Amino acid sequence: MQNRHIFWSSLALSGLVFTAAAQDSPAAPISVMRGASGLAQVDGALRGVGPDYRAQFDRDAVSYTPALGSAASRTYPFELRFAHARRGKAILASAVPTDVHRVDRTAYYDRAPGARERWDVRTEGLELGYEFATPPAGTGDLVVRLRLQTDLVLASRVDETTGAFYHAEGIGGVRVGGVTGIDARGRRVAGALRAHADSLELVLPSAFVDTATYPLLLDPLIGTDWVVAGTSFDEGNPDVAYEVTDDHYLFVWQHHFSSSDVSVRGQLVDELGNLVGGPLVIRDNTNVALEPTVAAANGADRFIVAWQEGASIFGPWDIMAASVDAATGAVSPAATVAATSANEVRPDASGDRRGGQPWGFVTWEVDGAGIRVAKVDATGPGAPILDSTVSLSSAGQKPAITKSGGEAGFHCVVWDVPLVGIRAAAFDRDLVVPQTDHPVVTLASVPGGAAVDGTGSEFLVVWDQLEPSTTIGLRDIYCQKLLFDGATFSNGAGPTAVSAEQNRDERDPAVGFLQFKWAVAWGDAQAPGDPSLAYDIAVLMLDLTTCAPCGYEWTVAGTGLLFDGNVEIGAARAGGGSGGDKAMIALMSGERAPPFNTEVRAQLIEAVGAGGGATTQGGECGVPAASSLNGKLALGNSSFAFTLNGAEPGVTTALFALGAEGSTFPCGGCQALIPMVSVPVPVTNGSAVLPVPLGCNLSLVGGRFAFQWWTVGTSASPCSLLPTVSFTDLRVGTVGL
Amino acid sequence: MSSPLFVSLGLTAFAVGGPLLGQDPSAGSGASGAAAVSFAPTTGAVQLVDGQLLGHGADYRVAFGDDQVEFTPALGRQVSRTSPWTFTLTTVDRDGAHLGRDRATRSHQDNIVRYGHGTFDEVYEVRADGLKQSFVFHRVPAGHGDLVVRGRVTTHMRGELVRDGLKFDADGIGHVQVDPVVGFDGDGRTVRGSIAWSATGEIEMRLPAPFVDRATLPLTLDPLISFFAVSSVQDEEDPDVASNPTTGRSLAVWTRYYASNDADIMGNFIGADGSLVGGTFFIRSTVGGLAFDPHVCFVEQNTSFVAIWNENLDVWAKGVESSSGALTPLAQVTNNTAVEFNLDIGGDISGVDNDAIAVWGNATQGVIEAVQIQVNPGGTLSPFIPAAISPTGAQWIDLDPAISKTDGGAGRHLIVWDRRFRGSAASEESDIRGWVVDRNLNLLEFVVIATGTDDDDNPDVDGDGANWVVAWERETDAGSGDNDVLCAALTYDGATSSYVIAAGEVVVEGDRNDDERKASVAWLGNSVLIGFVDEVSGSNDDAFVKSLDPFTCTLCEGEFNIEIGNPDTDTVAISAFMGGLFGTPPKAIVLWDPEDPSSPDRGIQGSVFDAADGRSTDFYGGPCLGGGTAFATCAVTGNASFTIRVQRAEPSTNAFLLISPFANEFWNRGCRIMPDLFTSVVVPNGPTNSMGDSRFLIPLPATSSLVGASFWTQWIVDTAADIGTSQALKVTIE
Repeated sequence: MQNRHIFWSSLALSGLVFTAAAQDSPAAPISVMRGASGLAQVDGALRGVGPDYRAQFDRDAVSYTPALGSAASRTYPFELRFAHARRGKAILASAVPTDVHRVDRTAYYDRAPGARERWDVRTEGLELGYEFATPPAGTGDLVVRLRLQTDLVLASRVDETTGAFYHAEGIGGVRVGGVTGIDARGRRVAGALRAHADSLELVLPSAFVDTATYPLLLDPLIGTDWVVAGTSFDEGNPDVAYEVTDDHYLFVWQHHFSSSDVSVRGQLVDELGNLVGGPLVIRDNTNVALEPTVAAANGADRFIVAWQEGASIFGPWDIMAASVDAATGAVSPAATVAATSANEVRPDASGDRRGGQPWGFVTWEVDGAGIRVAKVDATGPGAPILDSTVSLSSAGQKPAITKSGGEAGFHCVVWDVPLVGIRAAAFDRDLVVPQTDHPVVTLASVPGGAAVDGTGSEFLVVWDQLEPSTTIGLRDIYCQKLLFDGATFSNGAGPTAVSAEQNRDERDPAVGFLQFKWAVAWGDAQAPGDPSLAYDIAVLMLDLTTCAPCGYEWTVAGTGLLFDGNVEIGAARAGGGSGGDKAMIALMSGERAPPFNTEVRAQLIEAVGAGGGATTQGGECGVPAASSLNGKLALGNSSFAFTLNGAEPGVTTALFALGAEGSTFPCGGCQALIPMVSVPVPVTNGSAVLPVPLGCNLSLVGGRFAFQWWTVGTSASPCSLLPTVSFTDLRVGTVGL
Repeated sequence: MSSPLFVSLGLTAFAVGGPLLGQDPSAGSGASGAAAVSFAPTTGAVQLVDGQLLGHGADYRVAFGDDQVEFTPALGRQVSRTSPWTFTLTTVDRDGAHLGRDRATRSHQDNIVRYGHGTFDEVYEVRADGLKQSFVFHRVPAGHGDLVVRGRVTTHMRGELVRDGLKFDADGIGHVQVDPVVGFDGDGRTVRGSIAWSATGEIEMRLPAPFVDRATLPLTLDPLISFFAVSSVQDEEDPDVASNPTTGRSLAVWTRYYASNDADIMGNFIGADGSLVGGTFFIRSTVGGLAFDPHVCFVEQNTSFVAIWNENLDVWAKGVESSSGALTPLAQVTNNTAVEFNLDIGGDISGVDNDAIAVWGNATQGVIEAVQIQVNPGGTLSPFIPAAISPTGAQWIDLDPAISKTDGGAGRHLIVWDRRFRGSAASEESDIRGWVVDRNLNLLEFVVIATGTDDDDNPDVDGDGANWVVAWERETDAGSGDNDVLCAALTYDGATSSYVIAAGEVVVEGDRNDDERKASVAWLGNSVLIGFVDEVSGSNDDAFVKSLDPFTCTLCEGEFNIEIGNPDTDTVAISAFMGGLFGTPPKAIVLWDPEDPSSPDRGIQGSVFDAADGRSTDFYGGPCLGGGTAFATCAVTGNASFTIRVQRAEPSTNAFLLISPFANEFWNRGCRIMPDLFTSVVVPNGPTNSMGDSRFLIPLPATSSLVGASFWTQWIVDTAADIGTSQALKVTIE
């Protein structure tokens, strides 16, 4: 059966206050409350609430009321009633739902068999989606029509691809975001929003509807993207890092109060993305603090945070740093890292992931004079202590550093030398620099600069470069693998295109080492051709060795706020410990029009997702034993293994049989797999392990196979053909992501 | 017997560089004066000018006729009559035996003019320091006795024999010196000859017979070099200068006075670094007539300078090609009985058109007249028919016009003048008026700049085609002779054809009981330079320039000395250019004309002014989708009035200012946004006004460490259709 599943989402409704006064209010608290939205039955009605709105879910209508504040003379409800969904003449769903129910913070309206409407109650607003379990009947575009009743006025500028505004009194209103279709493989397509004064039409192109396919592809995302800081819409330029001892991530970002007052804020987040404590004031004085960066000093159980600071937005710029207790969020006093008469800008931080090593490292650019790196001691609650500083290069700009030095203890810094290309240097915890100025790639221009992460002996450098012959500054994403033997660099795979779609802007990449894969994220223009500040964040996992794709590209933003960028990756691995294939992605999400209200959003990702898993088909016979999977049956999981447990004592050998689904033979009541491959595996104390590292061959994804353990030398077996062989249950596995 | 003749005259060097522009310690601003370099010409020049073969050194002109040479010392305009000294060869003989000589054939190469006479040549070398005359014999003259060369000298100057030669007194101001004769032959042997002079005007130069008899060929009668020294003669005045904004090459023009009724128009190119390019050349010489008050502009389309001057109270013009220096034929702009005076000219640097616009006062009718002068391919000039741009008024006369040096690339000029009201002689009330005109001299908007009962005179103006700064002098008390220099800034909206006075009647220099006047203006983009002279004593004016914000007339870089001390300076001329390279800081050539009664004349002086007014580099053109044009003027440390502006954006539309230390290019529907949106401060600045203007005041701290710091800024307007952008600016604080 060809099963199809279209998840059509991302029609977001959000309240928005336009006035600068509201955004600039220095007294406005930083709301980073992921739980600041909810959905519950209250007084007999299903009601939703977010920081800037309330909603009510009735059987025939959904009402969304933005909180416009005291400046508004009255409330302005925004009421939507489902009219129909159709393809051509085929009506797919009617206005009367068969059921309305709530699951967690989502309200579901069952519109037709296999077709349901969902409203996610999110911090920033409601997110409307339609799910189709089977291919919709009919031909042509898939169109959902909703009737609209509101006194809000539709703004004259409506963009079918990116959304529309309904506003009132010049103080605010409701934003309706763009429409996106996503199938189960993660394939995405931009739909159209037809906004009118009295209706909305959501349109998905027929080509996508016709070709959307199932295999079972489980998205490696865990959780949805969420807002770290966003109530005042003046947050941006984030970074994130992980510290293993306290199992916390720290997000940092710059918060704009005014043109002359920009501070650094932070927020601790646990491994699941729950906020820990309140927002942190890391730097807030009369100066301007920009470009915050963070890394973990594992030995100090603290984060090191650095930024550039000047008396005004014009500078002169110095590099400052503070440390943050990874458990409590206590912020140390700030210390000066670099404050010469030159302008020191664009800091980037690294940490020592090894236990007992309290070091943080900060690299930066001296305007016109090259790249420096400093070592700071993050021990204790006092201000970080500057240990030493070295020069890595007398030329170059836009430096980037690995989040840690890995177990090998070598940190890698890359930078751009205009008209020359990207260069690299490595240093150890004592700031001994075995090699500097290693040529990574020769390029005339690296407009977005480079990013780097790695293990201390292997690094991946990513960057953006101009598309050939582009006249409008379109960029592509490339990568280069570096190998470092403790003394010298050599180039591995690459340069390789990570994302180089012709006529589409891909830019400002970040990279993280996620144990099994490299994760690369970048700003991805929503539309080809001349961009219109409509960007999502795209993520792609890469093979550790070849830099080839190890999964499918997917998008972590695209929530309707539309201008997403400035992405950073904080990999758990960099924060210490022996495992960790997870990472937090931090990004800035903003409006496409001035004043470009922005917020900091986050996404938890992992290199190896839930995988495809295995289902049991039965058929166990003889002396029982258990067949299981060690690790996720997921692409790129190099630690994956098949395991056997509970085999009869005395059994010393088992055969692992692998074959096609449904290819069995009966034997005395047993269902034995006809093996295409069988591997003898020694059994010790009733257990056997067959490691099968899963590579990054994309053709494996969705592949189904049957497997079974045959324990040899059991005391009994109903299979007369193999009287000393017992069989575990037959299982069918699917490789997923 | 032999008698060589040598006439040598002193010269005055045109010195570009001159003294370092001094810095007013009170200004506290960054240094702006370029290192001064003085350039003295090492050669004279010979040039065909309007059909005449002329030569010149530093302080003389020589005209080469068919058989006579006229040497004219430049005595300045305080002398009422010119003093030519004319030599005509009459005979060459040995003991009465005349050498046959053919009719002279004249030729010239470089700075040498040669009259061939068959068996010998009469040779003139035009040198910077004088004219060197030689007689070169290709065979030993037949006969016996001394070799004698005789000539007739015509001059009103009285000649007398002196110990070292012959001296002609020029009205007590100086003298023409003919030094003793020297002969030398092909083997380098030399002999001293003698010289004689008769009251009838005959000069005789003689070489002794024994030397002539034994001489090897060629035999030359050669003079020793001497100088005609003129002390304290102010012979070069009225400088003006214009610049090719692309290459930075400038053309300086000035008047060289031989007497009050005999003056030529001279020129010299100046490189972007302030060095002289080539030598001084004639733009116009009437050889005895009066050409004066030159002005010059640059026209981009045919890369030509256009010079105009006053000749016989009419306006004349010539083109000077920017690279080669080739002169176009003479063009007469006016030919009437009216009296034209106080000329000025501005050029089109947009490349769209090939016109210059000349203005002057018609003293006969009391009006301002103007004309387009078309620069044709190949260099010829085609003046249009002049027309009055100010009406004849019963209550006033219009005079002293000035026009912006360029159209700013926008195709518009501002012409300003002094409107003097009749019947107000006691109070001498006069105002400043003007017209905004387009490149075709269509009158766009009448402008009133200074009103009231004050005596406002002698305006000058420069701008960028949409914004202009006007400076003028105002008499503080009627009849006191105590003037101040004032400044006004105005901005013009082409869409509505209206203007706004952005800053009005700001005093630039206004010391009490101290006469400041002769204002000149140069628009440097991020600042405006105002030149003026400032009274020290009754006969001694010093010269200064002041760097001001072009939108407020408030102090930008400060005040700089041009000339202080004994010399008396009458004129300061300024021309701005952008250094010749994209992104290089703007510069200006400053010229002035010092006169020092206690020392030899220094001629026209010059220097390069390097603006340190906050380098502001335009990136990616002009307005996009109604985003307007951005300005970030006078980005200097400690400028508490530092303001970032946008002009001519979509009117009444919310404007936002981006400021970031970094660039990170984004595109939005064909418009580029350069400041990094991830780090940018976004300033909501409310709606633009009815002209589409907005401004944001953001004081720059007085921190020396900010010098050299850069930031990116750009305006964004939220129009109904989309967002529009101004051009992006990368501003470097200086």
